[in-house]
Amino acid sequence: MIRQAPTHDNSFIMSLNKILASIALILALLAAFIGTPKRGDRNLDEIASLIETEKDHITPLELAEQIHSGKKIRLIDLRDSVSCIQQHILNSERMSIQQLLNDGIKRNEIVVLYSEGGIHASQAWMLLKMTRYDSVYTLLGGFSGWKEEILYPELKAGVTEVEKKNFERRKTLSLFFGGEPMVISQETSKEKSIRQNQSTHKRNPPVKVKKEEERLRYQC
Amino acid sequence: MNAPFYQFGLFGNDTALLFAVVIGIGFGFFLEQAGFGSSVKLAQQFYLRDLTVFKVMFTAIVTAMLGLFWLSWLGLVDLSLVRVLPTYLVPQLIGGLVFGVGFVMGGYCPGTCCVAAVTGKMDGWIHLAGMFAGIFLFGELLPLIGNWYSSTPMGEITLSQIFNLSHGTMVLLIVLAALAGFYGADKLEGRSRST
Amino acid sequence: MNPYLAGIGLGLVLLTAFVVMGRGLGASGALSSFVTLGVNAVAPAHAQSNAFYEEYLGTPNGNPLNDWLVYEIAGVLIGGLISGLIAGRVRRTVDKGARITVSTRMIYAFGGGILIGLGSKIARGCTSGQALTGGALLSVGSWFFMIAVFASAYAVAYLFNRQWT
Repeated sequence: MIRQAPTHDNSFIMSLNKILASIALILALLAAFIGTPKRGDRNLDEIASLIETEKDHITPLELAEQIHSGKKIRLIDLRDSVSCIQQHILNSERMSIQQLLNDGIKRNEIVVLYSEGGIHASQAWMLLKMTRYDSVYTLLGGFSGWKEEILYPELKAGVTEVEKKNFERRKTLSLFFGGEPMVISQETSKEKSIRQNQSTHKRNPPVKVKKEEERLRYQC
Repeated sequence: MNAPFYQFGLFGNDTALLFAVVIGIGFGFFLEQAGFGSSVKLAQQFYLRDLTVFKVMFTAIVTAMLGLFWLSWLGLVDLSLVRVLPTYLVPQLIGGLVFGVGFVMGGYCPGTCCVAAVTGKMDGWIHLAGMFAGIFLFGELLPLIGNWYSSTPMGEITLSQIFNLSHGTMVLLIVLAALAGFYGADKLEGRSRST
Repeated sequence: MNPYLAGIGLGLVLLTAFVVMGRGLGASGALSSFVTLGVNAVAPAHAQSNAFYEEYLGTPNGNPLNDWLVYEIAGVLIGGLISGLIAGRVRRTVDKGARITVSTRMIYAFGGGILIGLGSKIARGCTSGQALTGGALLSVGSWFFMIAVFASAYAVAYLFNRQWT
């Protein structure tokens, strides 16, 4: 069989192929020149700056205000199951750090992490930041801070009018989250810790639940 | 740009499944367009008569590879969120050897077999049945060979790491090899057409 | 279609999957879901105590069809059919060389299918999942898989010559 001469179509295809090949070659040569494309740098400087400007955390009061005003925030409880069952923040979800890292949360959700004091939450925060979770925060003071500022705020005797007004606001928030605001005249620290411990054994804050699956999510 | 979009939570699972169908349509379309709905055409690759399989596969790999590199460089895609497949060296080698025999014997691979079946090839349907049988066989054997199946793990290791070259250099080497291969393939096909 | 253009089309589809989902293509995984569906329907206790089927079930007695690859393979069928219709390549036929019978072809097709099914599970993927996807990602195991496929196919091709010409 004799070889057929290239048709007009054939030579068009051949030049098209040559153009494609040249484009590929140029792109590849430039790629070799560049070396490493940004792989999604760990942006350590950005993370460091967030820490220094205190944009890595949120105070209990700020958190309470935001939740109360209806802002959609996902609260993650990183403590153990027992502590969680005993008492947790309203509508929080308990997760281990590993669960958190394995698609526990999405990158487009606003997430606040808390642990007992804040160390575990900070460690988890660091891991998440380094894998491009842009909107995660820790709760300053952890659950301990939450108890003191939100659940059991106290109004002592002999305060100014401004402080009394602030306390009214705190009272509202406290009740919203199932806490027990207190006006006290005088109390020794021993009596105070007895009172606070009694409260933790009483009950859990009521969980606002819509659907069955959400209820399951919020279990400790 | 926050890409891969799904990894940044920009859409949910339902949309992801819908998108899977769309992607699949493109996938199946180009497979058939390349003529891969035919076992006879696919098998020609292994007799060096029709090297379309090689051309299509490596063009696709080069295209996606270059695309990922440049989109990442432009900051449009976060490569660290694109899952690199984990390497299990020995099982993947053995699996490849077995697969290769099956490929030239049956004339299909899983994807092309589906395309063939849907365009009426009865041998495609039979091949599909065979694949189900083979997968079932594997499922039953797994408890016995489980340890071997997970042996020689090397993690998500890439060629550039193995050869200690930059990503870009590795890309260049692959492109050069592919272009050389295409040139050779065209020559080989020309020769076999004229005999 | 010019094979290089088809390849570019395929590559762009793959790239789109990477950019949108952060994952690549696949085929053998979808087939595994179907096998799991069948095994679970016939012998659920067996399926749920086997690591392989468990993975495709998701949750115990879950639905293996609720999987990205299953939907993707549905798309493959649609896309393949569309292309075939456009190109006039849809016809009930048995694709084979002239020198063998239909029954022989069917035997080889079934046998080849078994090996493909087995091989792709051992290798954790097939030409789309490992060679194309892993290849583009420069994954070492994927390139080894690809080379092994071509090597063994060429090595035993002579055994099946009659089938194809």
